[in-house]
Amino acid sequence: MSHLKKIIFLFLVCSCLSFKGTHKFYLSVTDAAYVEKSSSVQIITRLFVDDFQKLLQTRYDKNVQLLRGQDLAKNNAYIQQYFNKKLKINIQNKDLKLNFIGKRYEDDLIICYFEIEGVKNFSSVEITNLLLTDLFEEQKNLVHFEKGGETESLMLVKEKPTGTIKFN
Amino acid sequence: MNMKNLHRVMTFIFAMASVVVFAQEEPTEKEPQQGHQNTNKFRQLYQEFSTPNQYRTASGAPGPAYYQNTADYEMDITLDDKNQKLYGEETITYTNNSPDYLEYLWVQLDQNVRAKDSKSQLRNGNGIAAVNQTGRFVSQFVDEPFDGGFNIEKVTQNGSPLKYTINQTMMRVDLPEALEPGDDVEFSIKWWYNINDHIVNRGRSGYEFFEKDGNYAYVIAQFFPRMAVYNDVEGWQNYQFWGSGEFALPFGDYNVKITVPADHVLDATGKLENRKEVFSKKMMDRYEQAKKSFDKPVLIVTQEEAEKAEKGASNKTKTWEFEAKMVRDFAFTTSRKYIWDMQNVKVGNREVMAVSLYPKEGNPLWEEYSTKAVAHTLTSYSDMTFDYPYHKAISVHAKNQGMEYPMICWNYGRPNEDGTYSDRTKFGMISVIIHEVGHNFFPMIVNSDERQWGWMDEGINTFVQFVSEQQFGKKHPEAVAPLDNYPSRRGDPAKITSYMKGNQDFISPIMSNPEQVYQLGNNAYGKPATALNILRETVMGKELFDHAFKTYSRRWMFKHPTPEDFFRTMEDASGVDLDWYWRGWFYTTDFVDIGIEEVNSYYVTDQPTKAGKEMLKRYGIEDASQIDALYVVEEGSEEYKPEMKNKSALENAPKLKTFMMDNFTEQERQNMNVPKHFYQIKFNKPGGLVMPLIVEYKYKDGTSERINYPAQIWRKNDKEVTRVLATNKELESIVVDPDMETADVDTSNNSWPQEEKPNEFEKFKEEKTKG
Repeated sequence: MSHLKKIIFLFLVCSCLSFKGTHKFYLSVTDAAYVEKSSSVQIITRLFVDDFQKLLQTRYDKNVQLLRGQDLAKNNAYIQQYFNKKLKINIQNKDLKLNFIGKRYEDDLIICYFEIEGVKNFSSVEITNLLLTDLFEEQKNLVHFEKGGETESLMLVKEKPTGTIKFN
Repeated sequence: MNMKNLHRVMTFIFAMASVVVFAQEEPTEKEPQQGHQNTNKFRQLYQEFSTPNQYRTASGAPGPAYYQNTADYEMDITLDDKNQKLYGEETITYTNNSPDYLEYLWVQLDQNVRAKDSKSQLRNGNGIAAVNQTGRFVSQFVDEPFDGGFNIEKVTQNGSPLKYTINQTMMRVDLPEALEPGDDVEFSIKWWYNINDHIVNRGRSGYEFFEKDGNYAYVIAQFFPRMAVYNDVEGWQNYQFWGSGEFALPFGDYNVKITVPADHVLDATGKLENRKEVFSKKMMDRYEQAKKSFDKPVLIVTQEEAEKAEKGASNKTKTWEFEAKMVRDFAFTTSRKYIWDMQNVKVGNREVMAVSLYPKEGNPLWEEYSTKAVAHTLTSYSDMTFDYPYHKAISVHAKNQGMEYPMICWNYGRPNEDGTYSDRTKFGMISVIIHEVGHNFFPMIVNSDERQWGWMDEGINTFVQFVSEQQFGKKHPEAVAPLDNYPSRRGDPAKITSYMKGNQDFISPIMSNPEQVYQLGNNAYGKPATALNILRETVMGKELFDHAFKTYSRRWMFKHPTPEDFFRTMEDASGVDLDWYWRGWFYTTDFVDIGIEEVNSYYVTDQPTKAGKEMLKRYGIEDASQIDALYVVEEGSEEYKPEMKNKSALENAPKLKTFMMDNFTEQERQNMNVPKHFYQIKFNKPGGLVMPLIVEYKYKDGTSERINYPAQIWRKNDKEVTRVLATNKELESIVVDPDMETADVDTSNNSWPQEEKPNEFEKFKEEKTKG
């Protein structure tokens, strides 16, 4: 087929903070993909930057500012620390370590990149996503996991933060 | 035969050849086929649309029997600033212009959404978490809920009580005698309620408390019992207010007196009738200056004066009197904290005051941009629709909400405490002001039913907002620098693709009630705005679109349109059939994905090919030499010879040359251009939406050509279509939708030859390691 979708399902976040102030939406979207040739899991997480900044301020340091064009080692360390605590990728009963690659900004989103190396082929992955739920009760975390052209999705919330995806 | 005809002949031969190929592929035995109904994506929307009638015509205009009822209000309002309570007495005059007898009236009690026993709190599922933040736990399971909602003291007619029944946010008032067509009825309601903290309880209305100086700023709306709409579409629109679906309101005239502490500054919907009583001499003078200032705002209350007022707390009161004509609602804001500025704006032949109110916490951002954004919105929206008909438009600073009312709106955008602010805060603020002031046009004047169709005001408004923002960037380049264009969050086709290709379990068609959608922001704002933007830029073109859009706005100005009135007008005024577009974009959750499946290159020959001979055999011609025909050979096939590539068509097919010499004069032949290359391109469409097929052909000689095949190219085959490109130039590459203007959700299949692109992750990682 010529329309092989090679690009990782780059999911949406767009615009969830609607103009009606009453309906601020708490959502993150994580796109994970297993790349067989490099035995790695590539992870892209999109969060509302104002929510994430507030989280880092509340949790670690009230002076944290997430600003475009700035790349402070201190902030990156917080991000790495926080993600390793709240986003767990478990394959064969092992929580795998996320390596923080970097971050960038797009409109009102912060986009964080992580990689897990040395992952042998697997048929089942357990994902726990508690990002931002320690601050926002209504936080929803959408996870898409792509492997071999197949994408499965999970909607994780504080009450049910863990889900398992099985691939054929 | 001119050149065009020659082309046609050759294309015909070519097409016949491909018929043969298809015929061979057909299976010999197959299941008998079942019949089906018309599922063509271009069929008209007869099933979805209601039948046109005397009220609403097939052209999308109000019909000869169109009517709307009106509600006029006389109100006396008192604010208790010490206890945050609001008291009111109102007399409603409701006029029945419908042909129906009305036995009862429905009145909306929107504040009841915050009543202790409100069902709105129970409408969502929830769960209990293993770990709970103590504060949240207390507010969810322990705390007394906020005691909001209307306390209706009495409902009377000429002093006698009227029977009424409250059903959540709706109140039915039973009339002693049915209200006859053409008649009106007057009745009064006395009420009060506890004002909510809109920061904590998240509301479209309420107060913000400023701890540091002990003052309140009020943005007050949905604060009085309001008449529901009665019309030919819904009867009474008494769908409950659950919180997401906004408002449906009739037009009317308002006379409102509002009593607040004497040191408050107040503004509201309508004309201030007693300005001389409530303004100081200094304010009066500045107001007169503001009327003459067309280039920048004049401060009516300065920051210094506002800061001084913050320190006091008057025990006296002042009453502000407003009169508003032909508005569908009324809202006001009041505080002793407000700074106030105004400037005059020329809109067509009219003069309109652009006004801002903000506490010092909004500065330095608000003094710089608020009124500027209001003024820009008034002119840019008027250009797209009609001249703004009211005399003023006010932008009020509210911490984290954006909400619209006639002539007045609340907008977010608060700098940090030290006065610094990010670009995100600045553009967020300008955007929300453009959006909320823009709502004056949709739905305050073009008065659609928000309760049922969130997209009709939000989506249409977000579309005009996008146009307006882009113009703002052009008009104020210093405000957007170092960016070239205003960073609009919604409207650009590429920005909606991630939503549209998302999990179908969490997507609803645009044509859904706001209470039932999963992602209101994308559903009612982003997608319809993008759909209209694409319609304007790519499908219809600006000229046809703008005329039709203006026609819709003017037809339904101060009236109540439905979605069909919009859809029908856009077609009727432009002559463009758009049923397929409405069907796909508004009634389904389909997305756009168009790609290139394969490209085959052919050369013409007069030597009968194998496929050609087989085809002739089917027509009973055994000896190919009996017939005068041309054939095509696919590059790379058995019959292909490499030298064909370098020869012209006339050399490859001498028969064509003799035919030309026999049929055309030398002069005619010189004007003809016999194509050398024949490319057959198969486009496929994995996405459900039909869209124009925009193709850029790039040639080896460095030139390129763009062909825009209309969406109708998909009308006979929704999955794939082939086109032949007959050209003298050798093809280098093909790109579908080169400018990303159709919201194609997967561009990995848009190019030939297919490019191996690194994915988003790899691209980022590569840049990171490089730099």
